[in-house]
Amino acid sequence: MTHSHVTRADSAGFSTSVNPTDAALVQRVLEGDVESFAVLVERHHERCLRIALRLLGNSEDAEETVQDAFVRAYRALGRYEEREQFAPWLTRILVNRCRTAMSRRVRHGKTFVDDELAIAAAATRDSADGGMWRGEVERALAALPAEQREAFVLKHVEELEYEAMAEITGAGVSALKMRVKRARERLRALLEGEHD
Amino acid sequence: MMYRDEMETALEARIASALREGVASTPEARERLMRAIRASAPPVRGAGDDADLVAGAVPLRAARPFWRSPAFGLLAAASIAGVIALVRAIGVEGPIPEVPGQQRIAARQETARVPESVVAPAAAAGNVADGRARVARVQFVFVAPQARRVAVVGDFNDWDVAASPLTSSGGVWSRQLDVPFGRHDYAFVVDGERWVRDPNAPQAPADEFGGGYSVLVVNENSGAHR
Repeated sequence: MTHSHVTRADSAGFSTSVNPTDAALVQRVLEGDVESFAVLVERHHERCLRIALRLLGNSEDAEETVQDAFVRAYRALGRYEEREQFAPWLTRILVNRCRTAMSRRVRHGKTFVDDELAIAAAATRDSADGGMWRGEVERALAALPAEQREAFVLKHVEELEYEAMAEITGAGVSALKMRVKRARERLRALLEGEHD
Repeated sequence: MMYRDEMETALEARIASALREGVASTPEARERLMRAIRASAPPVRGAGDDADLVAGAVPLRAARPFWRSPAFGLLAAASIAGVIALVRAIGVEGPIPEVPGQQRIAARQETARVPESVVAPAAAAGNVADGRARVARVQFVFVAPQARRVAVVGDFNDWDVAASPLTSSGGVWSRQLDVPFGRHDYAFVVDGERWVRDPNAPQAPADEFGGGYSVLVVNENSGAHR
């Protein structure tokens, strides 16, 4: 079975599929057409990978966590309600799985780099080696507290509205604004010397 | 207080742009994912675990875990003797009996506006023969008359909220699990969203996400095992 579709950004910042809609695909899956789920995977996989990679900082963990989130979403499709959009519904599951993965990783001793001096030194080396700007940004992002990292990624990388972020994270809008503000200040402090 | 929502500087715009790069969804990765989907049980309307569907169901960082609150401190100090008595009364095998101290503890919780208390896990009698790792059977008991559901999560079940639900008998939630020898962090999850540590167990050092989990050590002295 093949499906064609068009995507557009909705007012909350999510890409919304209109032909067929995500909701229609969910209904097909619930009626037994498991391959319709492949269309949902194709539409949302890259966005989910990006979120997971930026939250977890490791591509292997990101792919594993995204797969876990999609499988859990598939199993829970029976509880998906059409009045809710699929993208934020899936993102909520993904963020919960990323939090679980982060928590587990901390317990297993795999923590983010949080030594400011080490980050600065690494950034300097990369710059001398040819300016690996993205690597510097990734290290600075990893140095943020988890709640600031999550808020910054959802706001500025995924460009979501605060109300949508609140629906995904369970945090209040004011708290999210404060987290983003602090994340921006912290990133600026970590990266300003490398930005020219 | 006003916040500026838009990226304000060229530096911040470059940060966001860099973080959008370097990620690609490949057909191979999507196919691996679909293989996992096809191997899963099909979804059923109205059914399915909702533990991951609640925003913030997994705590990013406990801003103020209730076990660190003044109310909980008072509760823990006041009820510790009753909790110990309850552990002894419950025993380690079979259904949870009526426990005289149970209502007393619940009443104290009502007074303190904290609806549950925790009873330390007790190593159970009876050997567990899985032929591989050495394990001991541990009974987890949690008093929460007002809870709709309770689960235990820990290193032994990958912190999966759906893996080990407790069953209720008059508000006393319990479950036996075979736990491998070793040290395990664990916690209880109430109604899929509130993580609660055991006040009568040692506490692990805090981590990035708030930490403060309870510590369970399973060894030769934990009870019956093999």
